[in-house]
Amino acid sequence: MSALKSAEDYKTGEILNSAKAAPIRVLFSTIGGGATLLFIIVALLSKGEFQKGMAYSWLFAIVYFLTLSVGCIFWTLLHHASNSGWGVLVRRLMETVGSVVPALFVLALPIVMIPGIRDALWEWFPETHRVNEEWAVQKEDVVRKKFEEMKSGIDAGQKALDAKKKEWSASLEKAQPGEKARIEAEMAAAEASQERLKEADPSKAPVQNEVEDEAEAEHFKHASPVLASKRGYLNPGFWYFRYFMFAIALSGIIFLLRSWSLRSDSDAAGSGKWFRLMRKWSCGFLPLFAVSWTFLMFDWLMALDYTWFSTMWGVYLFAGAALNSMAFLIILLVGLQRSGHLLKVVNAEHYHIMGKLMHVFVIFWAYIAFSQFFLIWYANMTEETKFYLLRNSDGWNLYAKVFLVAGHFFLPFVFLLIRAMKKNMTWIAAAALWNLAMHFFDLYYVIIPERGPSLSGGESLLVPYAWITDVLAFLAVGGIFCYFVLRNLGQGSLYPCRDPRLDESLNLTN
Amino acid sequence: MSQTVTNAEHNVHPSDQEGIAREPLVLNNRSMSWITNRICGIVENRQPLIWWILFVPSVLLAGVLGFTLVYLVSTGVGIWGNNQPVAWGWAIVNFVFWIGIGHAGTLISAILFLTRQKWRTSVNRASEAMTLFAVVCAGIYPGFHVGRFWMVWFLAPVPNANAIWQNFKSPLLWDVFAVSTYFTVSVIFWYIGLIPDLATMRDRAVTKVRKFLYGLFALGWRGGNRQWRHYEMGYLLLAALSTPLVLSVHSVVSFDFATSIVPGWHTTIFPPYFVAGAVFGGFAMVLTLMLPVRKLYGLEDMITPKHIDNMAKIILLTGTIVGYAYIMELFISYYGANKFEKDAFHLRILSGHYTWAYFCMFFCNVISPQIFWFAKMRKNLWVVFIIANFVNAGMWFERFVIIPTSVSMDFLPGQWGFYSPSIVEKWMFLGTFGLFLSLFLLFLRFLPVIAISEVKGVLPESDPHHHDWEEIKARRNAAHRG
Repeated sequence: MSALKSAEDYKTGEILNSAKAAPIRVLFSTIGGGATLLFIIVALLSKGEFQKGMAYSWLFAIVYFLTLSVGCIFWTLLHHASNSGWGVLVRRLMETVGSVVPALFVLALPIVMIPGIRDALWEWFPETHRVNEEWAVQKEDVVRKKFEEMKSGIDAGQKALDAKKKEWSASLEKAQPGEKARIEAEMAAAEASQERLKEADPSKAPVQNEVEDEAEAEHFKHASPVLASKRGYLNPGFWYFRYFMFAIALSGIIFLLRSWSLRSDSDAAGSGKWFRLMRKWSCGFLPLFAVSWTFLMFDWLMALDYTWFSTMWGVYLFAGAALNSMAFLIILLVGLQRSGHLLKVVNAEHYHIMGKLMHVFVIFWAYIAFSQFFLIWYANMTEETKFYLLRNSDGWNLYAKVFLVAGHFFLPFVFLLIRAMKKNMTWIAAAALWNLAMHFFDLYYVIIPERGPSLSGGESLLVPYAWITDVLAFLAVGGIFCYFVLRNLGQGSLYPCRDPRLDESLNLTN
Repeated sequence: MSQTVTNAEHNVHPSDQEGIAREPLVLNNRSMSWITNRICGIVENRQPLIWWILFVPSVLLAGVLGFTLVYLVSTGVGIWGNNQPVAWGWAIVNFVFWIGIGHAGTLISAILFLTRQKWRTSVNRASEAMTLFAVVCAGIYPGFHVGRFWMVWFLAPVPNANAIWQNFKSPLLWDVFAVSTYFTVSVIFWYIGLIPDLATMRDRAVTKVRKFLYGLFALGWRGGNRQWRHYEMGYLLLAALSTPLVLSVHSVVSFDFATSIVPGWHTTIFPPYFVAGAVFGGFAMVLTLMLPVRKLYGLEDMITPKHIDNMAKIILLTGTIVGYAYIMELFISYYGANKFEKDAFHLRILSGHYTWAYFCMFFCNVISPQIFWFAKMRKNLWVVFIIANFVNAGMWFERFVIIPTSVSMDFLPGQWGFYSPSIVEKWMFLGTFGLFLSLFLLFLRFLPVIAISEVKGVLPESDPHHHDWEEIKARRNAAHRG
């Protein structure tokens, strides 16, 4: 009898016990559905800043769960690209959590599509609108004036040319042969330049458009200089295009990987084929993933204040996503084992590795968050410091010290140093829960401080009682998210049971 | 042809098919004694002629370095091309270049150790040595850049009669701490790793001098159970200590620039971007050194195509990360709408004196490694060697692009200037290569280039479950065929 487990004994896989899962699914859908309904009712009944502030609540909730989901896409990609063996037994969970991404993009549609909500979040939308409205009013006048100027320019040019022509023909008669050539050349040049002027005749359609565009750009630059300089990127058409592209890219990546993975479960002869396919594509998907995630976070979160910028932004949100998706996977795994699943295959060694990865990303998150803060603080440039200035104001300062410095970094860092904690199901779950809570505070710190000043025109930092809708939105999106996770979990085996690396994962040692 | 492959594959369980099965880390079923003989043989036998052909010019070049340094100290920093506004020229470029190269060693030893990457064992020793030599070369520059070299000790916050107080708010001082800590821990880590192999060398020594010297440095290693137990724990702890150091050194180096407000220097992505770049450049240098060493000393069975493949992949990954950072910088210089930043990047890529350097950098660092997407190219040693050298050059250009070009044309056009290195700087840079190569060749001559005990540890027969794995393999293949 071998001392090791053989994948031959586990190749039938294991499915979710639907009798146990059903009531929990009902619970989640009730919470999600109920909270959503309540949220909508509150949104319809309230007004003013409070109502507009709810847009931030919903964005916050969407981004929170999107980070968990997208983080799991990253772990799936990393698993394949790094040719990993240990993670086979939990890979299906990664794929499942990742597969909720499309649902979250759908849930984000109201804040993206309804102008009133959208404009409360991203000020550059109403700003663009304002400048365009102004332009619509002024356009006729300005363009007419320009045309008149141009026309009179052409007329004046013609007159001057005619006068000069007379002069030249007079002097040509008297000219020496050498001089003649020079005068003729001058004449030709003057005529050509008049022809060029005529080409820009504003009564021609293409010229008209050109002049209009130029005048419009000038107007925009004058009316909103900062936005004007980034209008090539921050304009509604391109922004929506990107939204759909990123949604398709992220959903597409995980859809393909998950469906290949599910199909490999039943393909006894050719699981090697699926393995190769997933590995190959995962490597290629990694750059696509990085670009999509970075620019999505630029569009959604960095653009909450369109004048602020940081090159680290994409990395910062990625760090939080990778860390907390791992935390969520741990919770999910503990939940499954507590309800009698995966008991024969997953053991303390798997928790140990997942704990180590969580630990690594606790450190990585702190490294990135600190570097970003530190460099902006040290250089002390107005256009950059505004982000932290707002978040140092009033209570936010203490908030950051308690939740981000101590809670997000120091405590879990020390706790996760201890090996026994990583190998113990209960303790590692507690650490994971803690991290998820700190992630709540991290994203809250990223998104919510913008709300008060944005909606009140800089009058107040906070919108009174708005935290209630923040919690409500969190419950609503969270409920729906967990419902989908459980639903998708039931669609196949809980682990890829015919994966060629299953042997390695079953016999994992650290 | 493909038909026969498919037929053959049908008889093999997916786990054991080619491209999926884990490749052995030592080829041709080499035994433990073969490994010991092969590695110790390098030190014990006479060096091949090529060793001398490389060593003599290297030492001469190192001599040139010594000469330029003497000239520098006796004359003054004015003999460099530094000027106003470019007060930081090649000296800092080369410092960052060498420090960056000094990252792969500890990355391989520490981070790959913590992540249980067994393939590290064949290359960690040489890369660690390379790290140390690179840091030595790097340290020369800031040391001499202070001008009055005999006062270099003022860098350290020690009590002195001149009432000099080091500026703790300056990243340059943090650099002193970061680099010296990194160097110290890397030396200790490297030395601890050497101890069991030094004992092997001692036990095989034929002359008394050798026996005494290797014995002295082997610290009485006997290879007992207790010794191994403590050793492994010590090694693990040092690995855990070194890991944050790898990250911190280059992060602090990046702070030298990023804490300023100079456009092109100040950007928040600098710390992770520098670290990724350092790993990138370090691995390129490891490949540059190890490909010839492997061929020269017949180490192909230990530094296998798989090892080279892995390193090529790391180069691809880190090169692409560096590319991501370049693109973020460019994008934010546009999006940030800061006039100075925009102009700095406009000058950098379109209209400045040094645009050629930017495109050299971009091509070498981002475009050229993309060839490693193809497995065939990763297996072609010439391609790997050439790309590794592209990367070496590209990483030098990266520092050149960042450092002199950003300050040569900054805020005030009236203050703009142009920088080109003086002849002394050029010889000094070449001289550091001489020093680096001399030290590395001496390392090959006197110490085991591959960690003997660690390579033995990754042989299949070292796994206590070796036979169980064989059983599992037999079982799954029987089931597959049946």
